[in-house]
Amino acid sequence: FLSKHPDSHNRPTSGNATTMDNGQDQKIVNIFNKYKDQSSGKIEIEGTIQYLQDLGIDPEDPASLVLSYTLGSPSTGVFERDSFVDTWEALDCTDLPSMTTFIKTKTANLHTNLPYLRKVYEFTFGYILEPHQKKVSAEDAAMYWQLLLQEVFPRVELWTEFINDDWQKPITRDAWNMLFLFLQDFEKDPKLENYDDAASWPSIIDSFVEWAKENEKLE
Amino acid sequence: MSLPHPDDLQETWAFIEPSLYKILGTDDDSDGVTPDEYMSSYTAVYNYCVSRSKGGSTYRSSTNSILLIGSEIYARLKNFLTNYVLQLTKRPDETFLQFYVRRWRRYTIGAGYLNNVFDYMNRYWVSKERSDGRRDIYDVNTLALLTWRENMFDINCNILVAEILEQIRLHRLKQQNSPALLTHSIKSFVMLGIDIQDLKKPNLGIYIDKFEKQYLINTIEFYNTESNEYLKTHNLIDYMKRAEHRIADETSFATNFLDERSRRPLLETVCKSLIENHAPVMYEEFERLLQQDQFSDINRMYLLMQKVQSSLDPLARKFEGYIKSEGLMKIDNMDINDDNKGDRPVRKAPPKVLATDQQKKLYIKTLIAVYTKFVSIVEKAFNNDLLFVKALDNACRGFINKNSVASPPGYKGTSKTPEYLAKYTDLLMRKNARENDVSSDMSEDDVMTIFKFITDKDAFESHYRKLLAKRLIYGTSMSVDTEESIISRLQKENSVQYTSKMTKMFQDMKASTDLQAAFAQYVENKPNKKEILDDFNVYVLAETMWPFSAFKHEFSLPKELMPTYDALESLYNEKHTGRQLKWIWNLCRGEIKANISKPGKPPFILTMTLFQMAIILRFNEQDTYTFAELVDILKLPEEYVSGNLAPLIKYKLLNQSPPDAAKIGETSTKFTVVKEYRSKRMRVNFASNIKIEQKQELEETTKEIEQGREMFLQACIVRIMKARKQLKHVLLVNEVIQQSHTRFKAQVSDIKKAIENLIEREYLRRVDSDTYEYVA
Repeated sequence: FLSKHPDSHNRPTSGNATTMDNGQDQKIVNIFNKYKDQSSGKIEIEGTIQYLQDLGIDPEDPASLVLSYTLGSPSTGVFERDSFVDTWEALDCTDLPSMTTFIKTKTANLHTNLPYLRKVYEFTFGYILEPHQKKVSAEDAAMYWQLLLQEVFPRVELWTEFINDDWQKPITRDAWNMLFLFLQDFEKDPKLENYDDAASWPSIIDSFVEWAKENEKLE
Repeated sequence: MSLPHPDDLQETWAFIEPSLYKILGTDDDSDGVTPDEYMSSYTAVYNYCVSRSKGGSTYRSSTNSILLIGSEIYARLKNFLTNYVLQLTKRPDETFLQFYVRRWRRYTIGAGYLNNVFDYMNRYWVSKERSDGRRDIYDVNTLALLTWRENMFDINCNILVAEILEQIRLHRLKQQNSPALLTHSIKSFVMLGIDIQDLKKPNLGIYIDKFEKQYLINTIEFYNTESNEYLKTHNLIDYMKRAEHRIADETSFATNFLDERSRRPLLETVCKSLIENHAPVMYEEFERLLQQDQFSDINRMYLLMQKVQSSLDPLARKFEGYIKSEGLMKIDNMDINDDNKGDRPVRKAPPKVLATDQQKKLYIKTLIAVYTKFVSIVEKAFNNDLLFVKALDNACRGFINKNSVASPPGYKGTSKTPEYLAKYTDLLMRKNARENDVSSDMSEDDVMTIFKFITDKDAFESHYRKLLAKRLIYGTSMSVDTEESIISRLQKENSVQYTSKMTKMFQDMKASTDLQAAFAQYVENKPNKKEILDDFNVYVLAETMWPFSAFKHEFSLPKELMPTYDALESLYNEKHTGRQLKWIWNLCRGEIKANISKPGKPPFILTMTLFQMAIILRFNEQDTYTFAELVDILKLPEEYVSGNLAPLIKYKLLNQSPPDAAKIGETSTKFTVVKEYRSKRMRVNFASNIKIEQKQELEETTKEIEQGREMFLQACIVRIMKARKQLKHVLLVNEVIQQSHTRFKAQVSDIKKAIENLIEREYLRRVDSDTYEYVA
């Protein structure tokens, strides 16, 4: 999925790529330089793919999102120098094996640490947003829901079925964020009996509940 | 008779005792006290009290206070009274009650005299003792009453009450009884209620405890039994009449015999027993009475139930339900084929759409008839009680907005009543041809009556404004005064804001009249004056106020009209630089003088749409065009060309070849103008009933209403959030509903969508899952 948005982001870089000598850990800086794109001074898609491979992280694994969240990646497949170096330095990860260990540990904890999962999840919306867009396509959204939430909230499967078959419209940030709370709040209500469509849930969730009840999906 | 020694108690008492006995009444009452005896008793008591107080020991050395004499003679008196009361005996030929009342009356009179005999003691010794804090010393009258209470009343209370209640029972059954026995015996309960702490304070403790409680229980039992028995053998109407009488009886009984305070509890008890307990039967009967228009009986029922406020609510709810179902039924059974009132089977469901003006009128008339019928019932049967006024309003709001015509099964849009009401108003306001005067039995009041109940006020405004706009630009309004009168009534009923667009429309009309005058003058000085239409009306309408939008398609104005068009554009641009005129070609109409009459007859005057004019003018040049040629000349979309052609063919101004109606829009279909036009009338109107316009208009209005609501909700939310900064979801939703109810009934789902829209546009954000914040 990383190839979906090839070099489409021209945000100003936060650091100056030519001066390396501002007290940053040279080992980390070296790692960064190894993957960076010479013209933009950032790690771009190609470098990212290589970096992930060297870390032993499958791009199709939630770990890649944990990595992007950890390093404050501005958009898909892009890492900026300062946040890259400063973050790893603060975490005291100065070589690839320690980076791998950190990310894999965090990823392993995703399922039990819901507040952390929620942060990664909410980060993901901005991360996968196309430039100059406010909504994420239903297709992209569905892919990331499955990637991040499926295991924790099995209802995501029904949700994505609804999005693909019935809704078929782009997803707003508000709907994206509220979905997490919805999945969490109604985890133990298999028939959604306590759902109140007059409450503050966005209407996309109202539609989901209506669809699920009408089509007798809640058994 | 010589008086006893004043300082000798024994002698003094022996002297007065026989007189005291006579004062209170001897056994057979034969021997009354003489004035002499009475006077000398008084003197003896006076002397006793005075002399002993003076006689040497007035002063007590230790306390240095005045010693007043009285305690010994008081003790004797008390003892005497007790013995007196205890020895009273009933005669064998009288009931206890008779005995009690006989002795009580005599005793209380005697006690008054006795009090006078001991006046001196009362005034000095008794009041001194009481002011020193002795609460067991009383003036002689009170002492007499307390003695009676203790030795007669308390002991015999049960039998006394039982006999009183029996007398009351006889009284209720209108059997022989003695009212005097009741009056005096009941009064004794009041008089005996003495508060020994404060003798002057009225105290009904004894009356309530010993009499009233038992009496009320007895009353319930009596009327429960009586009403149940009565209802077994009589109908409800008779029962209600009887209940009325019973309540009147008891009211007068309370006035005549009871203490004032009992009036309310008694009537409550009676009403509970007679009315509340039988309310279910009355509710049941109520519907039948309504069906049979028995207003006086309904009024009787209302007046009865009004006495028990809590029983009135269910009656009002029943009434509401009845009106509602009657309203729905009348609409279901509406006879929309008003031409043949034969014995056809009753139609089960009316058609979903009312097509004709007559049907729409009938629908509104049906609503009004139901309302009017029940308004008069509320007045006649319920004395305009607010509870029933409200029930009527609720019921009307229910069936007027939602019924088989306004929202047929499966229909999900807003109620159609506003649309039909707007149409009804249009019929009322429009100039009508004489022979078809539908408006004779319609009125502004009708409109306002139904308007009041409409939930979707905004929908009415949209439809109404659309029709008003047409009346204004086509000059079909009956009178400007009536138009303005309705608008001011709508404004009064709703708000200034509600009618602001309509008001602005009238201003535009006025400004347009001025423009027309200016145009006439402007044209005078034009070199090409002859080419400009001299009878030309143009209206310049503010785009946002009028329910019209500029014509979206291309259109080639016929060359005959170009000079007029150019002149107006240049005049307008001279007057208002920077404004842009957009033409609404599809609303333009004109009259054409057509020299196609029989030879020697005057020419026809044909009313046409601008598009029809554009078509027909070309027939000055040749007799036949194909459809494709006409489309090419007019530059209009094909459906406009065919739509405007249709009436020309239908009323035989053009002949179509091939004549098949379905082929009207085919490229090669030919249209030929007739040589001689035949019509009984000299004026022919081709402009009405252009199908394509009507369909589009309805869709536009529906869309306009929806968009209007969306805008309104968003503006409303922003306004609230701007003021409140942060607000819980539920509170916001409630406030929005509150603020929109004079326009329409806001749905929570629509409010939620508006909120989401505002979150997306970053006017709002969520603080937590349940709270929003205004983003400045």
